[in-house]
Amino acid sequence: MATKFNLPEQYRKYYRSLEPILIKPKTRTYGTVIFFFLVIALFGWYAIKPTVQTILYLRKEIVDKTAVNKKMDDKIQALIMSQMVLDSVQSKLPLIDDAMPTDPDAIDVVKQLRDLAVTSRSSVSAIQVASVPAFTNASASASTSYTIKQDDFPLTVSIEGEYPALSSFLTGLVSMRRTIVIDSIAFTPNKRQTTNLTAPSVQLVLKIKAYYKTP
Amino acid sequence: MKSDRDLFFISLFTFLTVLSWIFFELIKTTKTSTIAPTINQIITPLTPTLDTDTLNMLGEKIKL
Repeated sequence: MATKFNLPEQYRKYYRSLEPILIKPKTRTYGTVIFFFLVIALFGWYAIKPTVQTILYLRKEIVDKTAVNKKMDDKIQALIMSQMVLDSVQSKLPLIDDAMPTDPDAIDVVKQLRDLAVTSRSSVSAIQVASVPAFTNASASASTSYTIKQDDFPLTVSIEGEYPALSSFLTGLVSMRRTIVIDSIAFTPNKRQTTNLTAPSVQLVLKIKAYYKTP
Repeated sequence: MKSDRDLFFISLFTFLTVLSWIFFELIKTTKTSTIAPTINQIITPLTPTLDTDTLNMLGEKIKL
């Protein structure tokens, strides 16, 4: 048999003062609506949100992982192709180092210019090399870097000889394997020519840039 | 009567705030990538082509 709940006497006066307010239909309606909003907000935040969030996260993860899988497959195919291409050009790879060495190698450039002058029967009167780093600093970041940068150093070359010889020198310069860029060419009559019997000697002043790879 | 209306509006705006908060949290979840940056770096596309014409041209040049 259920017993009727009785408020203690000390609290009964508060309930009695609230009772007329709670009985009013408008207050009851407002109370229900307010309670509904608060309960839905609380339930939504602590129950619905984490559930839906987990569902969406898992769906997103499936989509992302599928995309990663496809990209990995593409990358593997690309790497296999790259390996094949690399194998096919393996014998030609030293050409790249010849064209653009990893060090400035200024002495080698000067030597090549001198040899070219000898081959083209002209004489080198001066070769001036500006400041060149003795070696490039291969830092630790080089191992993680996937791009190769380039740097250059300027040279000024002064050559004397007959015009055909200088023309041959310039042709040789263009067909040189080492990567260089000619900044300026200046032809001037050679004032030191001794006799008028020989063909006129011309002085050629070249400003060039030689390139090398940097990490 | 006035306190009823006030409480109603407070609860209504609380409800709307929580609802929009949940909505934006869910939007954020759908937009945030679950792929780690290292994986992103690994799956960067690679072009398996090489400029062999330039290599051939280098071969034709003279090494003094």
